[in-house]
Amino acid sequence: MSDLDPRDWPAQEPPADFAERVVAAARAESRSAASPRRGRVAAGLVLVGSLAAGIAFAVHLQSRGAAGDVTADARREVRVGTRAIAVLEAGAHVKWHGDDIEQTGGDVFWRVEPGARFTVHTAAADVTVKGTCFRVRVTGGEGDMTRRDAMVGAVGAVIGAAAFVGVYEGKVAVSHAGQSVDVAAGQGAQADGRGVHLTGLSPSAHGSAAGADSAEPDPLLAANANLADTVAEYRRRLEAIDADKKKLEKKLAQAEALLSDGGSTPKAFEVAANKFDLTQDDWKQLAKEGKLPTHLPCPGPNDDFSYTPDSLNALGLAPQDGPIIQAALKRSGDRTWGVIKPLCAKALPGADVGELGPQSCLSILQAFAPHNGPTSLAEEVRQTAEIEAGMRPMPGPNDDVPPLERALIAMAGESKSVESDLAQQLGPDAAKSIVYGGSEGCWSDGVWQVGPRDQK
Amino acid sequence: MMALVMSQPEPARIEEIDRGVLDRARASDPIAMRAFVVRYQRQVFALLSRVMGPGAHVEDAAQETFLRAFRALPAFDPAGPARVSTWLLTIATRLALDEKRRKRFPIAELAAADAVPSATTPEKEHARRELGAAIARAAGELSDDMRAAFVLADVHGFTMAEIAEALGILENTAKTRVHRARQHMRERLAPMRTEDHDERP
Repeated sequence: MSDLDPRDWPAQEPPADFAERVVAAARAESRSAASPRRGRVAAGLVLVGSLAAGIAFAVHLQSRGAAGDVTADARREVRVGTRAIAVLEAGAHVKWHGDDIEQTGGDVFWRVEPGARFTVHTAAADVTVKGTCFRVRVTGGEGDMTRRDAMVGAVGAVIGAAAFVGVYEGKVAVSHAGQSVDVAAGQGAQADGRGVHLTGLSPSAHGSAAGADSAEPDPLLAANANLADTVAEYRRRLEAIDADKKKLEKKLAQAEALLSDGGSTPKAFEVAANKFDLTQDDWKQLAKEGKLPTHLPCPGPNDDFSYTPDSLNALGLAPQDGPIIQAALKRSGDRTWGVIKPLCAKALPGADVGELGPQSCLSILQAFAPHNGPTSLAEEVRQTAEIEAGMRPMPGPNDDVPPLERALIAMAGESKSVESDLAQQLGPDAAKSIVYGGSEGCWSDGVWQVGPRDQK
Repeated sequence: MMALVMSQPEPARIEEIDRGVLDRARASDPIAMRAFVVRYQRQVFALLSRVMGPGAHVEDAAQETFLRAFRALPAFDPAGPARVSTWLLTIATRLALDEKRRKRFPIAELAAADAVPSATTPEKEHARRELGAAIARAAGELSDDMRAAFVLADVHGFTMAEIAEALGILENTAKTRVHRARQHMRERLAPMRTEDHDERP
């Protein structure tokens, strides 16, 4: 007799791409909400204040090393690597590891933030961009492209493959087999077995994937007939995403500020850029209140700590000061990470903490804190503020200090360290202006304090 | 041997995810997050479709389950007493019951779902399908809370303490619900059992 087993009860199966969609949704959510939320859930320690820069920093770090492989069954938007958003039309296939991208087929609209070299490899050509919106359509040769083909741009290796590239902002270079053609905004280019040809925003009539001698109407021309409308739609959607992100960041900052203050703290520390330039008396007051402000440089949209010419101008600095500032801020980032990284590695033996970055490591240090309760965390925050106030000696490298407190100490003193570094090269006034000057450059600001636990 | 259903054979225990992968998922590593979803998605879908009834809402609820799990992962203690699967299915159960309180889903359609294990002959396949449909119908007559307790106990192998935790009730209440659910299922499936006996050579 067979058993009556409740597992015979039919159950719904997950769709094939379910995991991929969940991860995309989770990562989109984390980009919007930023990582301090996880820290709060873990241990009740909240990070409040001006979070916009911090969120940008967290996004940068969390997206580092992202990998994926997506085939769209309908129009679909995905974040690719660290700097790109891709809108895939049905049938398009893109895979990536970090900023190393392969588009093996289909029609994809790309928006890439400015930064280092960013290349989309296709069977017919490599498309290298520097901050732009462009579209790549690959026809023929799908499935035949090998990694090596893509890497060497061996157009001839995939017979019949063709790529059409339309550029809407910025500039791209379309290259294969040693030939490279720059394509500017408003231009298009088509790469196939005959080489790379400049076209308008529609592909050339003579270079279709079907072959130059074909009398058939070019399918690419037909496909791009409504390109302008499509681009406009993509633009609207991308702008809507940006607007939503800004709204969420603002709401998050407000909510965190309310949560930290609880409406009950007299003389609450006001987060303002110039308030991070703290005296010892300020630190004494903060120690009493159990608050610890941190003000740290972040890599910014170009991922390199650079200041734009406009930012330098706004600070009254010369263009040649840019590299000096950039180097000092990079040293600051290395100093902080140099403290946090080994602590993180100790908390996660065997893990590649280099891939996690400071923000994730701080969450881990919170979660793994040996005295994982709000009281001890509050004590660590207070003691760190007291060290900055001169009320307590700076612990030595061999002193027994909890890992999170060790990280907080490193962060709390860092704004003064970078100010001192800059002052030696640019003078004290310029250094103050750069570090505490307000809205120029990328700075990650926060105030650590123990707040109520998240009930969710 | 049939005795029944509800406790025999032992519900399969889920092989838990590797600790290293879990740690990486906690740190938002997308590859580890994907591995986490792949490891547990069938259990989550099974639970949700049995508690809520199949349909597009199951996929929505499953996605929300994993999103909640990822938000809460940093606070989950892998060294603690709760297994990852128990913790995750607890999230799914609470979400399913909350959704059920807000909306009505067609439990009776559970039999239409297409995940019956294959049998060795067409006759056995048919019998299994009928059995599955009968279990679904009988379970559909249970209250949502009772059905959830039954699913957790006899499909997913939760202990009474884990069911109590998942449903936010006392352990004795959990025992009562599971007992009553099993009793109901035995009564409703008795004709199947008789048929099963009759078919014996």
